[in-house]
Amino acid sequence: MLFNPVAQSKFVHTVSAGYVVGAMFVLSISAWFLLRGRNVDFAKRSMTVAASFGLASALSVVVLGDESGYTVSENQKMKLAAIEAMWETEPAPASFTAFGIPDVEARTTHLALQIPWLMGIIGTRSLDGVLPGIRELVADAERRIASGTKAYAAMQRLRANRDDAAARAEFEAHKQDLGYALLLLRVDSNPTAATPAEIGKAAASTIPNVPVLFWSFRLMVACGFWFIGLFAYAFWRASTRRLEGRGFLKAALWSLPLPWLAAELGWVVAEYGRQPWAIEGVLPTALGVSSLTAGQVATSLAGFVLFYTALAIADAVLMLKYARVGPDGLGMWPPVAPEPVPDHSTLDVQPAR
Amino acid sequence: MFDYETLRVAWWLLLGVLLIAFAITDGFDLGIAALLRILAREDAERRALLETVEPVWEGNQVWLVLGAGAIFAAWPLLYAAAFSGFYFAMLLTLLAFIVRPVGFNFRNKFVDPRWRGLWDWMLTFNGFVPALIFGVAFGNLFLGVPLRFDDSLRISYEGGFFGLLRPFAVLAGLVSVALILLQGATWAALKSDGVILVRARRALRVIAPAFALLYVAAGVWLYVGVTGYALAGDALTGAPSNPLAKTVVSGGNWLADSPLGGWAVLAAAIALLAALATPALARSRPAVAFVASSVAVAGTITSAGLALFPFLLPSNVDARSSLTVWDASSSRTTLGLMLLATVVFVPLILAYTAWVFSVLRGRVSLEHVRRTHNLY
Repeated sequence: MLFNPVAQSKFVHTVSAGYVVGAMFVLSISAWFLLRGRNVDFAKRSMTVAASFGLASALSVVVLGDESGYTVSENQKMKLAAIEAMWETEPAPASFTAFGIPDVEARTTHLALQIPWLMGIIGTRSLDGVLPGIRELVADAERRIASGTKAYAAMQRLRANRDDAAARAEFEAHKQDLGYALLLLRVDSNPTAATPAEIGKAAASTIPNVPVLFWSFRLMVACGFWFIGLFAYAFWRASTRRLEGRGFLKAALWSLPLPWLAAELGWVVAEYGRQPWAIEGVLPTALGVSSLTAGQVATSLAGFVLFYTALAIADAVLMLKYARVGPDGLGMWPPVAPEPVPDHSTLDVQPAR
Repeated sequence: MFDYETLRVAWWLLLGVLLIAFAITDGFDLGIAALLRILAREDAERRALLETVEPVWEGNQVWLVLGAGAIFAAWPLLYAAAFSGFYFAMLLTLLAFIVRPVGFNFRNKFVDPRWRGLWDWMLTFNGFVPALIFGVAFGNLFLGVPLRFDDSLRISYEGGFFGLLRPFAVLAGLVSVALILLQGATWAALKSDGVILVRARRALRVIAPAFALLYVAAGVWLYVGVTGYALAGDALTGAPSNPLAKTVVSGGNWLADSPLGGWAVLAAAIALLAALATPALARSRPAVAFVASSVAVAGTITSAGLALFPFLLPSNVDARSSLTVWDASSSRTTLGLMLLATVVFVPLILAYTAWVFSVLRGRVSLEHVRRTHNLY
């Protein structure tokens, strides 16, 4: 797990996204105080910290996001093709579709606004690397499913007779495609007697939901660049001691929910985008689940939704309350006459006698 | 390195160690949560009682995470069977553990007594429910669960939540609740002062005999009324894990016929004596009382584990599908690597935990809590 090729960049990408959420929270609440003229000194200090930490975090998120994209282009080619709605394999370097309306039926993208070369450079970090399109990847999957059925059949023979040398040789020759044969079980076909039509259907099932991925990814990236811009601007204003300015403060305040939104969209891109696989090329999600019924899972999901909604409401009430009370209301700001630092070793706990 | 059989026994022992460490450490703070409304009546008393566990409960829960992690990584078949078989029981436990940090953190944010009362009830729920469910689960291990493997080793579980609540299992659940109450009360006797201390000592005079009564009743029931399971023939102790490769007979007795049944009875006797000694010790030597209570916890879990050996989870619909130490583990390489990691990291965890507890030694003063802030 530690040495999984996508794990490291994705881990830091996710952690940095958490830092952006925190930094934006401080930036927004500070902006809210400044807009109301409350706790001005306190809010300016908080904002300076949030701006510098947020800028570093937002840069880290985007750089590591780019790194994630690069590792995806090596390991999850279909996910990348779906995110970019790349239906056909383009000559290198491929162009980047900044805007477009992906059409799943026709396997094309309408009104595509393309930036030449950009995708090839991001995805392969070269001018001659080719990124396979969806049509080519489906054809590839078809070939691998056909090969996988041979491994599957050989496995059945091996289970009947462990010493069947011919079956073992056949299995060894095709075992890297066994996972693809399991895709047939998903479309209710028997891997040992699949028709070409069923293989085609199973191969087509490897295409994730292209429009959802296309737009989730673009919104997430737009948020990411907005964070860099906003934090950089805040950092510059903090450095020149000009944090007031209603336009800037309002932008900071209303950006409060955006990091959450970006994080959710990132989750959609990463997890929804790798369907139908639980482990790419090895284990289809449909075969990785336990034998619980849909009703049991739905009940527990409903329980979690209710429970977390209740907690989220309580949490929001508390956050609003303490944001309104503010440092002045809690008696923490401005600092009163120098107080002796409390000695915690004797404050709450008396030493044992 | 070690052979497969040794590694399996090592991980069976480690599973026991982790469960015991969880029950001893998280046991006392769950016990405090369960006893919150009994040992502490007014708000300042409750804050004082909660402060005895507030700095340490999260660290204590490390043992739960480690225990579940050990089941996941070392006993994957047990993990798959138990976590989806006991689905709603696990869900209920999880909900109880989720309200816990929320209860600790939200409780003091408003002074409104209804708000605080709500979270005190939540914490009480959190104290009782996991212990009850873990105990019921242990009871079900002795009774067997409706578990079946098909030819391709996919697991199906043919029971529901209420199927777990068989009388013997419920009795085991009560034993488990009594244990965490014992842990909680001896902890309060060690860490509190004033009226809370008086009530904790008084509570121990009820809890200790109640535990002894329930535990003996469960032991007698196990001996006369519960059918045991046994492996037929020589176990394949070093072969790859495949539950369907063995033969299991049911009809014996968990205590009389089990290979380690005698040791189980010895562990049970130690647990019983230790528990009965706690009320007197709590007056004279509160630290020793807490140790005695912890010995009772360790002895109880040990007695159950030894009586079941080599079974982990017997099946009462298809005896062959039962999970044992010899056929539910992960691969030899995995067990070996994880043992290496455990040998390095568990002493580290023990060291920093010991340091934290030594820094926090002494009693929480009720008078001090009364005088200080109540919003944080």
